[in-house]
Amino acid sequence: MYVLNAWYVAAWSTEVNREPARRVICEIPVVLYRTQAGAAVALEDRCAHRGYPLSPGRLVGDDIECGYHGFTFDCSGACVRVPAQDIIPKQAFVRSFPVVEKDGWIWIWTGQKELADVSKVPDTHWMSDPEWVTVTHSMPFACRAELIHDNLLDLTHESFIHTSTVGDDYIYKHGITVEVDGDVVSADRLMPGVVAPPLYARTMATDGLYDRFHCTVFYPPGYLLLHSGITEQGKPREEGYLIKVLNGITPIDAHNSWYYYAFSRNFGTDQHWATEELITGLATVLEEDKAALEWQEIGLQSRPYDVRDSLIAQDAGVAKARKVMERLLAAEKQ
Amino acid sequence: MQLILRQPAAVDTGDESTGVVVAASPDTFGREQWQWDVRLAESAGRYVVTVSRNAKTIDVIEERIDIANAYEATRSVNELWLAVVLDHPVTHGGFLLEPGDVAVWEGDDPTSLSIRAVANNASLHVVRITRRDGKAARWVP
Repeated sequence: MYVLNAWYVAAWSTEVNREPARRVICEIPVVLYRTQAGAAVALEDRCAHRGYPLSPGRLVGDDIECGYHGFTFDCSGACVRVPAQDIIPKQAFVRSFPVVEKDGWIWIWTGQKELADVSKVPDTHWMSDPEWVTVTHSMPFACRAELIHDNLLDLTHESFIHTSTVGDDYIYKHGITVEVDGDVVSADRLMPGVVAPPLYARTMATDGLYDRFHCTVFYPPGYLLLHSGITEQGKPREEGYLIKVLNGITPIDAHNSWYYYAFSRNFGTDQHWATEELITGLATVLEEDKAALEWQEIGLQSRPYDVRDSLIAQDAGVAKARKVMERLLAAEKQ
Repeated sequence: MQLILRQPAAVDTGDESTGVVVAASPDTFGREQWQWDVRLAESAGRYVVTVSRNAKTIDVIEERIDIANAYEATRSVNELWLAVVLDHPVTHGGFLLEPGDVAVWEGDDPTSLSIRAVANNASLHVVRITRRDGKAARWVP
C-alpha cells in the first residue's frame, strides 16, 4: 500500500536524457525521457499493445516507439502510430504522469492527475543555491521506505551505526522535541557543549566544544529534510556551520526503495578537498544505513505478525510519522 | 522528551461530547497497557479538557493557570506534565503555542518550564501525571 497522491523523487535531472530510462515507483513501471526541447516526460512503462516495456524502445521526435511492434506514443500517452494498420485502437494509450523538475531532481506525481499541485513540491533550493555546496548520492535500499523514514526521525542510531563519521554517544543522551503539525512531523535534538562530528570537524576547522543540533522534518510520504549543524556555544543556529540533508525516499515496492540524497553545506564552500572528503565519508554513512536497514527488513519479514515494536520516548517522531502515514493511506482508500 | 502537538494533529474520536484526543499514552492502540488520555472539546466557544486515566496506576492533578505575564514551574523528573493552551497564544522555549495546541514534557528534558503569554492574558490547562508506584511516568509512543 502506498500513498499515491504525492510527489516522489523519480530521478536526478542528469539521469534523464534522450535515452529512455525505466523506474519502478510504488510498483508502477515508469519510463522517463526528455523531449527535443528538454522537457522531462514520464509515461507508464508498458505498451498498450501487449504490455511490453517502452523503455527498451526508441525516441522518435518527442514520441516513444515500442521496441516490440512499433506502437508509438506521444508525451500525453496517446498512441499516435500503429505501423501494421491505419486505425489506432481507442484503448491504445498509456498513462502519463505529471512531473516537475527542480534543483536537480525530477519529481513525479503518482496519483490522480487533477490533484497534482505543483506548489506542494518540497523546497530543495539549497541544491542550486550558489551560497551552498552540495554532495549527492543515490542508491537502492532493499528495505521498505518506512524504515528509512524511521531511521531519519530517530538519529540515536548514529551513536552505533556511524561511529567513525557522524556518531557519538552524546547523541542518545540528549532528548528530543517532537512537533506534529498537520501531516508534518519534526524531531529536533539540541546537544549543547559537545565536540563536532568526526566527518565534519576538519572541514569546519573546529576545535573544542560547540552546540550541535539536528532536526529532521518529515514531509510525508517521500521527503525528509534534515537541518543540522554546529554553532558556538549559546549562539543562534543560523550563525553556525549549517548543513541541509535532503532525503528523497521513493518506494519501489513493499520491500525496496530508492534513496536520493543531497548534502548541502554553507561552510568551506571553496575547499574542494573538503567536498572530496565528504563524497567519500557520506557514501560510507549511506552504506552503513543501507546495511543496517536491509538487515532490519530481513528481521521484520521473519517476525511473527503479532509481535510489535517496543518503542521508547526517543521514537516519538517515528510513532507520530507512522500515524500520519496511516491516516494518509486510510484517506486514499476512501 | 518534549512533544509539541499542534491542534490539527488531534485524533477525532467521532464523539463530539468527548471531543478529540490531543494526547495519549500509549499513543498507539494495542501497544502497552493504557495509562491516560487527554481530550479537548469545544463548548459554548470555550475549550474543555477531559482527562481519563488508569486509576490503578496513575494519579492526576489538573489545574487551570491564568498567565498575565509568565508561568514558571519546575517539574520532577518522575512527573509527566501536559499543558493545553485554552485561549490566547503563549511561547515556551522558542515555540509558539496556539489555542488547542498541547505540550507534553517527560523525563529530564526539560524540567524547568517558562511559559509566557504573547499579548493577552492566556490560560492553560495543566495536567500533572504521576505513577502510583513512584516510578517515572512516561509517554509511551
